[in-house]
Amino acid sequence: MSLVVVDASPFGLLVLALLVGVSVTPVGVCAIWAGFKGMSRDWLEFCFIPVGIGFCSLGVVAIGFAGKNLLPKFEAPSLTLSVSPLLLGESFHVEMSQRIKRDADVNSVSVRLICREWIKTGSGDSESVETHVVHCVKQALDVAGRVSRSDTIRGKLQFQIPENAMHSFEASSHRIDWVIDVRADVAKWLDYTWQFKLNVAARSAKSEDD
Amino acid sequence: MATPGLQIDLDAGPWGQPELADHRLPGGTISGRVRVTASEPIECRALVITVGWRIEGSGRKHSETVQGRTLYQGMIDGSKMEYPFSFRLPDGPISYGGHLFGIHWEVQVQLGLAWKVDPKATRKFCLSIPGQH
Repeated sequence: MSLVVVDASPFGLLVLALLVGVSVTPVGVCAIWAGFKGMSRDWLEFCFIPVGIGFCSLGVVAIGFAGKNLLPKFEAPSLTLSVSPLLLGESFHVEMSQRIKRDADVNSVSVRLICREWIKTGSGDSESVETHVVHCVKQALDVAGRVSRSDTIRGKLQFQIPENAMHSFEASSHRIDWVIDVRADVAKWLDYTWQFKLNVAARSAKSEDD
Repeated sequence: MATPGLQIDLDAGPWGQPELADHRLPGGTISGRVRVTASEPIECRALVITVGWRIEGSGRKHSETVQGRTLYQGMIDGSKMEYPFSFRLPDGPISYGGHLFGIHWEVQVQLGLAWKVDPKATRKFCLSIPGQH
């Protein structure tokens, strides 16, 4: 029975509502159209119109329910770095604040420092992008449980760019990207993720002298 | 006429250890000499030296020259000649050996000859601070 899907999570309910909406609405439209077309031949076909309106209404309500629940529960987080631009080997703090838009049960909010290789290969239709994570450090904010609308999640974390890592780099088809990735794990819901690009510079002979 | 020989010798770097002989500091300098050996006099259109980096590995090829200079133009007699050079290096990109691609620095020298294939020589070096790569 579909009850299993409904009980599984609000996300299951959302998918079910979308399926109902998408499949029922066209049936309703067809019924209304058939009702209007056959009305002159047989008055019984006139009954198709209210049935069609009923199906359409059900479909619109189902799609509306799914759409409302697709609205984000979080605003994009605001991050502040203690140092910018960053140098290889440097420690820094990340201060994060994030407003809640809708009530949610949060399992965890994690922040990851990621260094990623990015390359573009091929050309034209065969062009593709490949990435490889070189470095990843994950830290969790002390946030868990029910959060309410207009609450703000705040946190301060410390990271270090490894001494032996590569700085940010960009050529036509090759990149080294440093990013801060914020991930909110919401109970029975899809994870929300946001990424922020960092500028990590190389140390030079001048800065070594300082 | 035999093809002239080209050789690039780098001066000692900022560190004494033999394993760091080919390392140079970002923002520092690289210097050395280009040795040209010819068994007979040759007319040199241009002895050009460049310093740059190139990307090796997956993806499209890419290279950039960051410094370059003509060291000599004219006759080279049938002996061994040396041409010193010195360049200031940029802060980056530093040398990198990654999973998908690598960045390699090199000094390249090319001897322009009339009616002959231009001989070339390349000397790789590592632009980094010890402890990095």
